[in-house]
Amino acid sequence: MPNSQVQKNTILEVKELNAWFGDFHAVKNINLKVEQNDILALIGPSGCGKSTFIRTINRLHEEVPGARVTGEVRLLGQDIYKMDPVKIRRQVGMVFQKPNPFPGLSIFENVAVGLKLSGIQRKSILTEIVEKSLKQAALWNEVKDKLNEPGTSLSGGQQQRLCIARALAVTPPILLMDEPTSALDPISTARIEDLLQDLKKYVTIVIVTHNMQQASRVSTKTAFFLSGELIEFGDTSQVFTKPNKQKTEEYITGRFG
Amino acid sequence: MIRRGDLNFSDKIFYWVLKSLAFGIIGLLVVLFILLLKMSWPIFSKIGLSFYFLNEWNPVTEEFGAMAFIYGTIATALLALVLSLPISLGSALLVTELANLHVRRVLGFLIEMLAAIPSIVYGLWGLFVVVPFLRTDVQPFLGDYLGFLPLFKGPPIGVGLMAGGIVLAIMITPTIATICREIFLTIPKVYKEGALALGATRWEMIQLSVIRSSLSGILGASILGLARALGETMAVTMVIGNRAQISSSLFSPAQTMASLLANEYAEASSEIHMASLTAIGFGLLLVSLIVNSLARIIIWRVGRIYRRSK
Repeated sequence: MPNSQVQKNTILEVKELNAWFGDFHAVKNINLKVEQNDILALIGPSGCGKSTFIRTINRLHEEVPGARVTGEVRLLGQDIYKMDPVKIRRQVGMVFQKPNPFPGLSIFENVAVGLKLSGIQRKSILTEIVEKSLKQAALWNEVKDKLNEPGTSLSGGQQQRLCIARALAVTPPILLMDEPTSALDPISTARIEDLLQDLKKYVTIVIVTHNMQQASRVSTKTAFFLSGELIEFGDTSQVFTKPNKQKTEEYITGRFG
Repeated sequence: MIRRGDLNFSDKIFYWVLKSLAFGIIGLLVVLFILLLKMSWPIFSKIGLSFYFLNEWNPVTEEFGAMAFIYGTIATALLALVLSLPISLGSALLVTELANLHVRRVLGFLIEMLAAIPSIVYGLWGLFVVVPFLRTDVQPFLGDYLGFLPLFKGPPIGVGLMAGGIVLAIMITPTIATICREIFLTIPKVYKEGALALGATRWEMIQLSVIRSSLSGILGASILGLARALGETMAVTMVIGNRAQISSSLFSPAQTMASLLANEYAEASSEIHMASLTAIGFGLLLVSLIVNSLARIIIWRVGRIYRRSK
């Protein structure tokens, strides 16, 4: 490939992306690139389109009746809107705002579910990957003796780390997190923030957050959204200390939002 | 909460009027119970509860036992449930998980409309469409290929358990489909999206997050459908063949508790015949109450779990 130098590091490339709910234009003409081992934080006030944007990356946005997307999203160079959404979602991990372990499945089964969906049946392989994923999600020590108990029996913070393990099990190149700590207490939140620094080694992360301190603590890149537009995108240190746009400065200094 | 002492005089009257009306409904049920028990006393005092276990029904010789009708009732209701469940589940899943908004609305509306068709109309349709079709096509076919099973033995008459079960299946489908749809809609979206985000297909998502978390709700909906099938009278009376017998074959005519009452009550002359029919009514009331309460409790508990987790 002629441009392999560029593609080696670019995990995600978004070009002229627009998203609608019916007539409502929720995401307007977004262009950005995410490189390997980045943690990109998406910040902005409620309703600014950051959650909608993250949901276009694994094509979950279109599951909402009346929703529509135009533009290009390239994951590892492949245009995901020209592919089967089911295949795309197997390569993109996602963690939601509210922990959502599947009811009726054990801790083990919850982590293994993605692997089973991709056709892996062998018990020995499943056991190995489940252990590895739970260790990556820093949950192994707490659950190793009760893998057969229901996933829903864990505490909220543990459930969220279980969901992170579930997403990591299929070794996705990219992990999307939609306000993953907003339903958690401060201690669980701190644990997940610490965890993100470890995860950076294995996976590129895009995280939506309401909390600007969190964005400045955990991320390497920051994108500021307002009314569906990408106002500013750059290194986190630059966006938080010397923002180029006045709107960004007003938002991060708490003048609105 | 309003304390009674806070009400002024006209509100107090209003309160008592409403209260007595509301409790009147429950009183009515109690009166009905007592009356039925009293009217069926002659048969109970003669043979006791063995009335429900005897397989004998001869008004001329005054031998009475309800077993054949209990069998007919349960057999048609269960057959209806078996036939209706896949249709109901399928349509509820289509309406909640797969179809676009337009199809959702139209289909949901049409399914609910099925419940509004008068039972006698189902009976006419059963008698003039279903029964001839069973007699000339379905039953000869089943008899030829599956006739070795006791279920499909005997002459293809058309009227009988099978026709009753089919007509009932269509009548209980709106009940089961509507409740299943309501239950599927209470499942938080985050579970469905969680499955889709892992790369589940529609069917895998339905297995993982819809079916698994609504099993007890589906059970409740089925029991409620069963309750409706147990008590349904007119349509069944028209297609069941009205014969007091217990046969393992779905081709054979039978009789349900409700259809027996519709057929014989007007002509019952002797006191003991009347009492036996009332005793059957009493049994039907009891079973319906128990089955209905069971279903309501199950459905209520499912709803409560999700209301809490939302």
